[in-house]
Amino acid sequence: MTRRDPHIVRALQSAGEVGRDLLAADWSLTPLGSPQQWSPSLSMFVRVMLGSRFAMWMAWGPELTFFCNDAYRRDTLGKKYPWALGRPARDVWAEIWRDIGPRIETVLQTGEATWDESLMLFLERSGYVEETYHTFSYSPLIDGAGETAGMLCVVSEDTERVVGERQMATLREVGSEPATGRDESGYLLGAARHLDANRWSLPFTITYLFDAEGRIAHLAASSAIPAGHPAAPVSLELGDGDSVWPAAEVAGGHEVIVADLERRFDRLPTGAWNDPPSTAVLLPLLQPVAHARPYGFLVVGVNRFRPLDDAYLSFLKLLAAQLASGVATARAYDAERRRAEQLAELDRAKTAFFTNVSHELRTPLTLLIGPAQDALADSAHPLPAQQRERVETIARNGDRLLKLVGTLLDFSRLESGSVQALYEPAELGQYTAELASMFESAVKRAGLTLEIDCPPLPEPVYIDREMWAKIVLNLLSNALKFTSEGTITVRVDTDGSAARLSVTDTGIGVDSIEQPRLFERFHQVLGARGRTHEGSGIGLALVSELAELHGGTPTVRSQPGAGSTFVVAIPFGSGHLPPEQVTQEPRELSVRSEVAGFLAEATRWLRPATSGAEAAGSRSGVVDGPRVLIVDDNPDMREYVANLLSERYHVITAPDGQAAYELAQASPPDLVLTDVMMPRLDGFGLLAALRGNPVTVHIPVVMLSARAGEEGVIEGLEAGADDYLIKPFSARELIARVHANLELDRALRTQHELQRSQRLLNQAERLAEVGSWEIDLPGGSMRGSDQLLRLLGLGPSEFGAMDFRSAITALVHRDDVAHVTATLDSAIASGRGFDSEARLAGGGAPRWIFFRGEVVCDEAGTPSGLRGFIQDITRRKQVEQAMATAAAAREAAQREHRIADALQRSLLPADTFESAFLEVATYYQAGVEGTRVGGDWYDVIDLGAGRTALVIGDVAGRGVPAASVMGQLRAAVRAYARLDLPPAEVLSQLDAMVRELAPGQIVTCVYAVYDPSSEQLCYASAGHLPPLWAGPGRETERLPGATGPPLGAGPARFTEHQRELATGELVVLYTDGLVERRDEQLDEGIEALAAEVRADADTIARLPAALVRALAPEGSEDDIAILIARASDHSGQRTAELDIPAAASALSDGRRFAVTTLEQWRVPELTIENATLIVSELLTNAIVHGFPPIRLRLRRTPDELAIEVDDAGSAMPRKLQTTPDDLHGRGLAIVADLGDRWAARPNGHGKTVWTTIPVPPDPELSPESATPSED
Amino acid sequence: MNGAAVALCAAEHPRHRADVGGGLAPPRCYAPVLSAPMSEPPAMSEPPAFSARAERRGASAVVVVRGELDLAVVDDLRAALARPEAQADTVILDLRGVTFIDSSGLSVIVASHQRMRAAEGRFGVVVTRPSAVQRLFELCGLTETLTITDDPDTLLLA
Repeated sequence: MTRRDPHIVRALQSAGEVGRDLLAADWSLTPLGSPQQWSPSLSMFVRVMLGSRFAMWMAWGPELTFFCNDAYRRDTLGKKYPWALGRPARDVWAEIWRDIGPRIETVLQTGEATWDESLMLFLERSGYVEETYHTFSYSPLIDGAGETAGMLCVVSEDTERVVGERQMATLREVGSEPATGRDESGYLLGAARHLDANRWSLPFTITYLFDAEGRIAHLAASSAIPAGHPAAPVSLELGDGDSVWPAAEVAGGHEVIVADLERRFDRLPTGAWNDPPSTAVLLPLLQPVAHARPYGFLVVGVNRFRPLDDAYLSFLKLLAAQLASGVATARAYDAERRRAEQLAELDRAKTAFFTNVSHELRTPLTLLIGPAQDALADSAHPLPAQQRERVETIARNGDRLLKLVGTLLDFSRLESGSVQALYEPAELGQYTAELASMFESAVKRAGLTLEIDCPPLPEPVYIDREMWAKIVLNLLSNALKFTSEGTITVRVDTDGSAARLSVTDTGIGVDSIEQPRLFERFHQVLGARGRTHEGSGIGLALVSELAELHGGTPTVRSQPGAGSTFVVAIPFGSGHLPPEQVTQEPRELSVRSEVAGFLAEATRWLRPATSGAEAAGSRSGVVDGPRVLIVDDNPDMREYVANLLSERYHVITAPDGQAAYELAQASPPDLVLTDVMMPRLDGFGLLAALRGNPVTVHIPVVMLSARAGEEGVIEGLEAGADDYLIKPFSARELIARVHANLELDRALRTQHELQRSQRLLNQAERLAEVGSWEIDLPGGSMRGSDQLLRLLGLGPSEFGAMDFRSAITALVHRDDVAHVTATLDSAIASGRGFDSEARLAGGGAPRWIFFRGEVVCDEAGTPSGLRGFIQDITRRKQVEQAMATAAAAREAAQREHRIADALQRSLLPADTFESAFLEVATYYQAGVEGTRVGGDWYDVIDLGAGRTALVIGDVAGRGVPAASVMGQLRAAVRAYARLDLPPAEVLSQLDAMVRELAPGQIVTCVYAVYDPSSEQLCYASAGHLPPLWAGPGRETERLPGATGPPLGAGPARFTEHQRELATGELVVLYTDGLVERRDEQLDEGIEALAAEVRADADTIARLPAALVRALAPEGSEDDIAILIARASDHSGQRTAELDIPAAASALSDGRRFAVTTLEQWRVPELTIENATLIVSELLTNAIVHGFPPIRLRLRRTPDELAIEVDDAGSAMPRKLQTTPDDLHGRGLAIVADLGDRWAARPNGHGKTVWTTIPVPPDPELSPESATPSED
Repeated sequence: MNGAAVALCAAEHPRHRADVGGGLAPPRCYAPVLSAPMSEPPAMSEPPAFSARAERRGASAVVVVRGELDLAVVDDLRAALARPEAQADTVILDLRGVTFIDSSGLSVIVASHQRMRAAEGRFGVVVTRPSAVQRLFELCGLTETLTITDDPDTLLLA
């Protein structure tokens, strides 16, 4: 017999809230009755259950009445508590009874416990249906009679673990989706497959990408929803409200939650569930760059059975971040791929173009050469000697062009891979010797020796015979081209693993700088003294490519002046070659034609040497005609032009500029016709040399060049050429130009003479022959002097047969007949004297006469006759016309002068320069009217912290080009000054720039830096006139120190010099226009200038103009630029310095020092705070990145505060762009933000990093009251 | 729980210990220069000593920093932030006692912020407004990224 549990009520009362609620339940409705009536077994189980902290519930009795403990109530029961207590379990868990009812039934019937792990259950414990997962076991409860009377459920909920793992798996899979090697839509489609696999957390997703303008979003991928569904339109307009999705809002970079899906869409996919999402989240796909528009956005339908809590949201954000980074990667990859494709396409197109053009050229060339050679070979109809010479020229130059085209074609074939080498074993020594020996006669003719040292090699070498021939011939040809005396040696030997071909010459050699570039395509060594300037620069590049095909490399050893050795080494055997291109069968192959091309070319270079007498010297033609000097290194061209001109002129020829100059000096020609590109001295060099010599300065020079285009013409004309012809030119054009230039030259000379001797001309006029005449009016008969008859070209009888009216009609130009007749008639009528001018009749150039006469009257006063004289004034008329032409030309020149002048002035700095430390006065005056402006300039640059750069320079040459070079240099100087490079360094940089920008241009320049803290002027000069130094009451001196070469003269080192520039002392920079006079030594000019410079005046503002008045009262032909700078009194400046040990612990001392010093200097409080921060940052940088000793310097000028930190390190700091996430690099950004300017400069012992802060003026610091006050 | 703060770490920099109050001690290496109108070396007062200590307040850790925060003391600050007492879901860096801070100090704070963000914890900085410290945070654009306040309670309650 069992006893009821007497303590059950008390036990329930003391079992917390659940216990008390159990007591309070209405047990009368249950088959179990009140707790006092419960069986002992039930009481015991209830007490055990209530005492457990595991979540448990139990069911007991026929209705399976529900009990649970506190943990179960909290974790699972939710809102069903306390209603559930004492209810039938079937009612309590009605919504899942389908799942758990059968399990409970089994337990009750079999007495066996069940086990379920992570069973998905939809509970309605929080007011909505919720997806949950529980692991639980049902075990039977046995009553006192040993029967199963109920069941106990021990349960643990693992909803979060299950959902979390699922989400983690999705993230992992999306993360493993490759983003490279595909475009972004490929990537997103791939990623969407993974999203589709998790329809629990992601019932549906849609990914949109914004277009480039951000106006339209295009659907890129979706999962569990078809594209085109009302909720997934293929594109969305951002301006279109949020009719479908609020795309514009999410474009701002924030997540957007859309909670009214039911209202927006009729039918949405449900994902893994039976009901569609009611909420969606829109997540931006953010770019890594802050504030950039997102790539697009992800729409996720939210699982309605899970709360949209932090965990869910952060999962979605991680997902969006993952997709965004995939898109970024795909885009970067895609961009890179497209770039590579474009480059490859460009390369292909280039090669194809090259190949096509080369092919196209070969056909007409062959058709040109063939008939020419036929004509030469035709013994049946031999050409006359003169024609033969012409046709030979055609054939020779055709061959040369064909060879060049062939080489280019070889090259492009190699490039495009369309050439297939066929490698066969060869006895390399023997083959090479054969090839070389074919050059022997050419070498001998050049006066050189050819040594061939090609012993048999121990094993065969696999070569493409045709290619090998090209290698050998190109190297030989190259050696011949650049060797004027000595030996060319061809050697084949081995270093054990490879066969080596070396070609050694005793030629001009190659500078070590040029050596690495020798094998580059189209690279020609500049200014090399070869036999010819001809060449495409492609031969050695071809050798390099061909050697590479053989698995070898070309190298060069060379010493300028001593010679060069080119070596090509290729491995033995065929292992390194593609097997399908190797054959064991020797091919039949003739390289004769190849060799012939090379020999033809070499022969041409050699001809001038063999017929030097022809090349330099008189040639023939019309011996008493104008002398024309033809200069060209190509003998064919020289001969051709000479033949064209020799019919009209006395022709002289020269093979290069140097020879031509010597000829011209010895006997100046009337005109020089010169090529541009020539060995020794080129056309521009010749032009400059001719213009530099008073004997030859007036000779008109016509240039011939192959360099087409406006630029070439301008270059030639600017260099001072009188005319310019572009090759190819026609014979007619050449003759016309030469003629025109000779005539123009003559007219100009006439004008010149006229200007110089108006008086002589007058005298000549007086002495000019005058013919006198008399006319009898009644009869009209005439008498004339012999001179008159000579003037009119008439015999006495002819003249005597004319009456005066018929004479006028016959002798006067018909346009002037009326005028002459009228003049005479009016004289007869009025009785007054007359004079006038008229043209004479006759062919050719018009002849002008001047006539003057008077009326002769009889006793009655009736006109009876006329008498007077005529004078030939044709020459005077011509002169007048020439003068009018010259005046027009002068007008044009003046106009250009004005333009260049304006350009130059616009490039000069504004007149005023403000500095507390320097008084500056400047002056610029263009050369006098009629000449063109030069390239003088000056500049004054504030380097910050009181330091100032002074610049003066002179670009040689005239006109717009000089002014434009000047403008670029001036800008460059400003840029280098901005970097605060030391003077010598600035000049080195400019030197390199001039060489690149304007090769051959000569520029002189002085760059000086004035530092008020040391009162030193540091300067360097590139070939410029010495600056002058002057102090009050002191004699003016030239600043000492050697000047470097002018800029552009070649790599040069510049030396820096220092000179103290104390208060009141000044420095004068000037250009040669001020001191250079034609009839004076330069030194005298500088002395005269030094004598005029005064440092005593109150202001130097008027000093430059005074100097110009004194030295160049009539103005100067050249420009004049003057820059004068005088150190101002700046004793009011304050300075304080502190040496800082290289330890972080010293930072606080540095700051303390700054605060105390700046407070004394009455700097505003906020400025002190900023300055202290700057001090801390600069010192930290010096301690961490620099080297001791470290020195902090504070300077206060009237309007700014300079903070400078010196250290011995040379590495210049750079400011970095920092983002809020950066850990480092913020220091200099802070300095840059707080300071007015900041920079670093080398200081001789390391560097100075400085910054300036504007401060309100301190009245105490003005120079007038420089006396310090005690603080 | 509030008020049960225990001083767990007091990292005082040795440099400042010796001469706190030695306000007129001449700085080392001082060298007046040139013709500057300066009658005597400026007198320099010593800075307040640097200290950083961590305390727990409920589930949060509060690190209270005093003195000048520059390169010389960043290691001390890092050490204080690395103490076990400073490890919590919410870490508050109280800079109200800091009289100076530069980029060296900022880099430690930004690093802490990033570490806390990676661990999904919360990180806040307390500064006096207005102050040089607060101005530097603004200058460097960190007020957007970091949680900065002048009232630590808002961080503790949030």
